[in-house]
Amino acid sequence: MDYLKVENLYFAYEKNKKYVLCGLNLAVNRNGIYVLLGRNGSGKTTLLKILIKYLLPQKGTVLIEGEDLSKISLPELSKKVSFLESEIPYIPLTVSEILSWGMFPYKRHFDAREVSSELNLSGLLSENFNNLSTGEKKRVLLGRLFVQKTKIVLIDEPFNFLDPYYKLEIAEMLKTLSRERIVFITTHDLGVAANLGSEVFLIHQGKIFARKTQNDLFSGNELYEVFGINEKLKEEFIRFYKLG
Amino acid sequence: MEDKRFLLLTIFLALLLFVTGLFSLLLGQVHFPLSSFLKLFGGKSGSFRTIVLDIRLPRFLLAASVGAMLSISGMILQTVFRNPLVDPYFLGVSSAAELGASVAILFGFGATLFGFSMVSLFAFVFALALVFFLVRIIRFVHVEYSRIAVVLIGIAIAYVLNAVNTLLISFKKDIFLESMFWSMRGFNSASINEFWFSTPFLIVGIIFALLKSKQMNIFLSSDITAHSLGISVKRFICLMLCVSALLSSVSAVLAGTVIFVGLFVPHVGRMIVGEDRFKLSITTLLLGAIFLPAFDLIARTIIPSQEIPVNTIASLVGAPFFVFLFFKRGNNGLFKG
Repeated sequence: MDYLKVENLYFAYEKNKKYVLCGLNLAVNRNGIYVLLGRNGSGKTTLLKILIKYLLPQKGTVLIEGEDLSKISLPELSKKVSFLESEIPYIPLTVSEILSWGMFPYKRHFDAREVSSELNLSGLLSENFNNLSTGEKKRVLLGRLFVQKTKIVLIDEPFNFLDPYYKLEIAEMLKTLSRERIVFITTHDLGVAANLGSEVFLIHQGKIFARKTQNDLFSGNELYEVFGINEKLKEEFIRFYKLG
Repeated sequence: MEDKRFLLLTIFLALLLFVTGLFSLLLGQVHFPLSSFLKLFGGKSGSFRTIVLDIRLPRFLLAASVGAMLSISGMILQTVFRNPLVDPYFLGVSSAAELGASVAILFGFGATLFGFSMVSLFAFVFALALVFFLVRIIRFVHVEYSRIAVVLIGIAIAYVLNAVNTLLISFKKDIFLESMFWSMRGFNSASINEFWFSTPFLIVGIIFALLKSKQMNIFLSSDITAHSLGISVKRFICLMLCVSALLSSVSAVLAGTVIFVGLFVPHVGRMIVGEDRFKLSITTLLLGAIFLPAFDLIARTIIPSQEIPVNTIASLVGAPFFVFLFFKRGNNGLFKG
């Protein structure tokens, strides 16, 4: 049985408007990092928001461990699926407080030190989140997902606004996270898609346009079609991304 | 703030509350020597005993309770809206209460129910009705627009209520003085029954704030984070609005519109203990219970044989004090948390 299965999903933000997702299908059952790659506005983030019930689809079903998403309550869902938004919110609280959210709503004893040494956050525990750098903030927010321990983890644009150093760090964290979990990330960054994903879903025109691996991402024509790269631009594109 | 320091702070504030209470009993328009205060516990009745136990004590207790309720109410609303400029009357609760009072005065409902005037009861009902109406609106909009919808419609309704109130007043001029007196009456007619009436609401308010402190913390980040952690955002907003409005409506019934405390006490709390809602709830509760009786004490003693409205003192003393605190602790204060 597929751990996560999406069938014939339709979603539009307003009635009688263009569908952002139209008839999207997707199934995943193995741990790993799955990259949703597509242009801006292709519906990557929308899909993630549907998977946590923040948005409700007009049509289609989502099954998590065979159970219909619409029948799963929010507290139950938070034990199965965790989510991290792309924006870094303003949170005037300490790092250890934010890490403890991964345990919510359990009252179980939470030892932030244990998690933080594993994630290299020990020195930051009593710091105010707002005073950290963007890269550190991202690490803390990702740290919460380690505490939350859900089987499915959805991360929207994890590499936004990060310098190369933090990109590598976050990539390492994602790899660790994906050893025991199904991790979905969205990106429009080809470098990320080519190096991080165990699988790449090309999302285009409201559907999964193609399912690629790291090795065959650039072969075939699908990638170029998704990003609107015609024959004329293709040469330049290949040179730019040093694919040649 | 670390737990140990927080405990010390709480003990300090509790002592400060006790001292405020002591001064509230000792000082007033009528002066008594300290020795007669000690005799109070001897059991002899007398004018001093009457003044202290039947007038000053209820007045202090009621002011402390209302101060605490308004502060908690303000803190909760500031959390819902993630906005430090919000106060308990933000949603138009006071406009509704004032209109309720005017209506009762207009129709000459002089009767009392359980020791409360119909004027107060009308005010209470009007205020609660407004909030329940606003809460229903949230159902019809997406989470992301729920706050803005509540605020805009709340303000629109407040305009209507104020206009109706003005209309009533223009029909019958003497409502004006009476309703103004009602909404600004402060604590000079406080009775111990009013204090007892307020206690269950106060207890519900503080228990709610403490039980929901984790949710409120999560709420400080973003709606989608709260949602993904299993919190139904709309339902939680409704719940918080209801509790906050209940506290401010009860306060309006007991003491009229008391300004400033609900806005500024939560900020003083944040400057001292930071944003963690568990610690902030306790600190805010105590600070509210200290500040309002202190303002009331000043209001009734600063000019001999003349009482000043407590709102005036809250503004004249509280506001400069707040500015002073802000500059002293500004870096850790209002805007950076």
